[in-house]
Amino acid sequence: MNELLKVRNLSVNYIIDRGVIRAVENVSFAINKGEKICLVGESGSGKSTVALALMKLLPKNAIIKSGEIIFKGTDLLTLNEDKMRQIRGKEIAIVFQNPLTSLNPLLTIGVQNSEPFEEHLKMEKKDAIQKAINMLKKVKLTDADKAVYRYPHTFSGGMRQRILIAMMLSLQPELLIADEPFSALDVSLQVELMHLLNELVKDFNSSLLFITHDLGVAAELCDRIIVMYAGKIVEEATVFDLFEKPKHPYAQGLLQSLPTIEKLNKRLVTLPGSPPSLLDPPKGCRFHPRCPYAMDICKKEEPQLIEIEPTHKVACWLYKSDTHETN
Amino acid sequence: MKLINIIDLKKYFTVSKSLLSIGKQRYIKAVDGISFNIEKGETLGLIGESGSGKTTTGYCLFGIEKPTGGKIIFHGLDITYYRPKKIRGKIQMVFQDPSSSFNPRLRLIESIKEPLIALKGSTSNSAIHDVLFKVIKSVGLDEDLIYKYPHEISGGQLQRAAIARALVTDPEIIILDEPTSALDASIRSQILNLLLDIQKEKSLAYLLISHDILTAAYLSNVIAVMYAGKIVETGSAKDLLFKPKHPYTIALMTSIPLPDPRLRGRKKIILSGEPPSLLDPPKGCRFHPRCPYAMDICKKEEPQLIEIEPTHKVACWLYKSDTHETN
Amino acid sequence: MISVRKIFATIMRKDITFQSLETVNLWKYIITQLLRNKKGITSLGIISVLALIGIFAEFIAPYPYDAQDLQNMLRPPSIGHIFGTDALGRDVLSRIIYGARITIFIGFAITFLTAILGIMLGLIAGYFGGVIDMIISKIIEIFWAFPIIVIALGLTVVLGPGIRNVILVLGILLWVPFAKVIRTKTLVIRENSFVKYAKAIGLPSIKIIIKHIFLNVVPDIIVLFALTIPDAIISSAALSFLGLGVQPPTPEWGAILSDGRLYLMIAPWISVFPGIFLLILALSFNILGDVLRDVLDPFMRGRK
Repeated sequence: MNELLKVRNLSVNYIIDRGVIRAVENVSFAINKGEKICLVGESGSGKSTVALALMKLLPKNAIIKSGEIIFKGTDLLTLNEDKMRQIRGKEIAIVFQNPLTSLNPLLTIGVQNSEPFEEHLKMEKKDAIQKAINMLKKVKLTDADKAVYRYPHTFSGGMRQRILIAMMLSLQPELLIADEPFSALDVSLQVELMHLLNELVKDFNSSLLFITHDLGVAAELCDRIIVMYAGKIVEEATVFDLFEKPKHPYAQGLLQSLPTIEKLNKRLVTLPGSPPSLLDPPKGCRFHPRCPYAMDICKKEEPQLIEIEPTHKVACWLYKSDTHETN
Repeated sequence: MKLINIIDLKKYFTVSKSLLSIGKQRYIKAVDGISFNIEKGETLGLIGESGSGKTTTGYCLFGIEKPTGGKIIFHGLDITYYRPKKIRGKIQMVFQDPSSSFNPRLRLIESIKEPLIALKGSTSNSAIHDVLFKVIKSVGLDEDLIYKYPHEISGGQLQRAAIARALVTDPEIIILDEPTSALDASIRSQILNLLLDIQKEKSLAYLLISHDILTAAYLSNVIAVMYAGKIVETGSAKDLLFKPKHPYTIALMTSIPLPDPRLRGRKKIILSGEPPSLLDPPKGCRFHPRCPYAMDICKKEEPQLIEIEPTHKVACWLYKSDTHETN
Repeated sequence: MISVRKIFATIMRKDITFQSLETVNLWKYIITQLLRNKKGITSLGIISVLALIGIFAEFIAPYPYDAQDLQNMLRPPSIGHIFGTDALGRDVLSRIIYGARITIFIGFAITFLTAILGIMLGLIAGYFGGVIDMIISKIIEIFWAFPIIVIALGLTVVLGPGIRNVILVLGILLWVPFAKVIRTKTLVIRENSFVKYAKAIGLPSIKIIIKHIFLNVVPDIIVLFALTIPDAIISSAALSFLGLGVQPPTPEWGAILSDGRLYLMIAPWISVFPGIFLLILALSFNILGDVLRDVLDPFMRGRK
């Protein structure tokens, strides 16, 4: 069984006083062992919500309306908090965007980074700290042995993100979720840390769910890409297929609008309008107000995600499935 | 005559000491001697990472910061320390984060009006009105949107409003500080097109500050790469993208994630380490601690900008000038 | 009476009209939000009731506040005198009713003075920074370090007792929280792009301070105002208690409390009842301030 994670029909709503935000609707996808998947989308696409849902770390005003998150055969949504806690950190780990708020400012790095070893592997403090130092060396943190006595604020943003990666990968989780982990860092740091992450994930044979809005990063890093728009998956393909022959008009528009080396000083083909409000999303296909190919049916019925080629799925009325409808 | 001449611009920030500390005054040398020119209707792209000094340069040109040394010449007039009122409206600025660009307690129309009123206190209301609505139309904003508050409209629309505010005084040059970094990918191209259109229509010059090389390359005629307060290379977009000379530029150009997975395997120079401290920059060439080609002389003497091809200059000991040294 | 609108218009001219400030909308929002909240309704309700009692004192109070009845001194609460009488036979209830007017007025007056002083100093220190900030900060530290009451005592001894002097003295002393908060807020707001822009485009400092900084600290000022009133009231009550505040027969609640001191053993009602009312008033304003802070929180963070 190569399949590590299977998400089926996941829907998440947020309750605010103005109404209900339908942040994620009917999202289904799978991640295999050792695979690197990029979840690509703009702000409001629902990608971060999916990540939080997988870890069951959604805020209090979020409701999982429906769906299953099957991890190694067990539906995580049926687990109680105790059992979930055993999985978090050990089998599934997450790295967030802002390293400032992810590390406890009042504890030394040594204490924080040895926690996974103490909690999950029940190690003695001395051994746990040594393990932590080894991990810090692996992420190329300078002077790792002395770093464990220092506090987070004495490190720069890039170093803090390394420390976080070290902490999260400590127990060699089978799935690592990274939510825009490098967006707040400089370009050269982004590149370095991206490659570091790539190496580590390969070494530990972990699967990676990398969430980003940057198509360049997705192209560099991943095997497969899932494109989200307004809470729904609109296209899923191998990274080469997506960039070479994008099928969904949103994906096409997005790729066309990127400034590239060939298009210098020429007008870009743009996507008109802006992403919709999720309080009151458009009826039918959520992309139809901006779609240059919108047909009547697009305004009335939502297209399902269908397989048009092996490993290439689209949710768009322009396409008919070649074999049969798959969710 | 060139529109803008920047000559040996320096901006040092004093590090505050307590009243009792002894020793020399220390400075953060954010910009440490840079020179460049901008022609009418042209775009100069200033690329660099955080701490490179590019934003500070923009602030000095706009007048938010007073230079510590060097000269800023506008149409032959020395505006380094004093700007006559009639000059003020000619240089304008658009900031990176649209949400802090506007006073949240004022309706957008009040903010967009502001520069007009600051400069021409006693113009009649109807004259102001006319200018306002013409500009708002030219940036593609709906008239009713400007009566709203900043938090009521989207990021893309806010950035259009910021551009409108910059246009009301009929400027000759606009400083664009990362104008699209905070925007969603699908909106970015709209704003880039708008900037291109306006530039052509009004023969505007732009100083484009960016960390995103592709955006800079897309809009700029000339690009200058900054590192640790100095310019290390200048040239056309094509020069820098296809034949970068300075090791820092090479690293940047080869390693930026490009939205094309087929380029994954290309040879990259990945920088390690962190940008240097500006309090105590390295002796000699400031890039030498991270440079894969650093030689002895790099650690002792600072290289000057020399012309290696017409319109292509580098500050690096690896190169000798073909004709003669030019700054 | 100088018109606020006139002053405003002169400084700001076309920069910003009084209408565009939309103060009315802000107040509407505040009131509606307060009425949604249990604590808001209670505190606002109590304060309103006490204020109305003070305003209509003539109609509510059974006796004039200075009507002496030496036949009925120090009588415990009874049908004729619900809160009893004091050492001069005056009806305690009536004195408390009239006292509402004076006590609340003094509270507002002091807070008003404090606010103006504190806001100005805070804005100037925060906006201009440098030497000016250093000087004002040092002054803040000095005032913060000294116990207010001691200084107040000293000043009232020098200036003499009476309402006007109480307001003046406490006004000059209680401004520190305003100055501190406004200064900090100003330092933060100053870093926003729109302030830097206004400066670079040549807007004079005074306009920037009013249009860009002050407008954005209004919610903080409102909260601070509500929270400072109880301070002011208690402080003035303390001064009256020590005999340096209002003069007899003015029925300020602190003064009534003070008069009752000598008779605490035999006629506790003279001090206890005004004490309870002082407590209720101060508590109500504190709770109101808390609720206001919650209501205005989105504004204070910059969003709506």
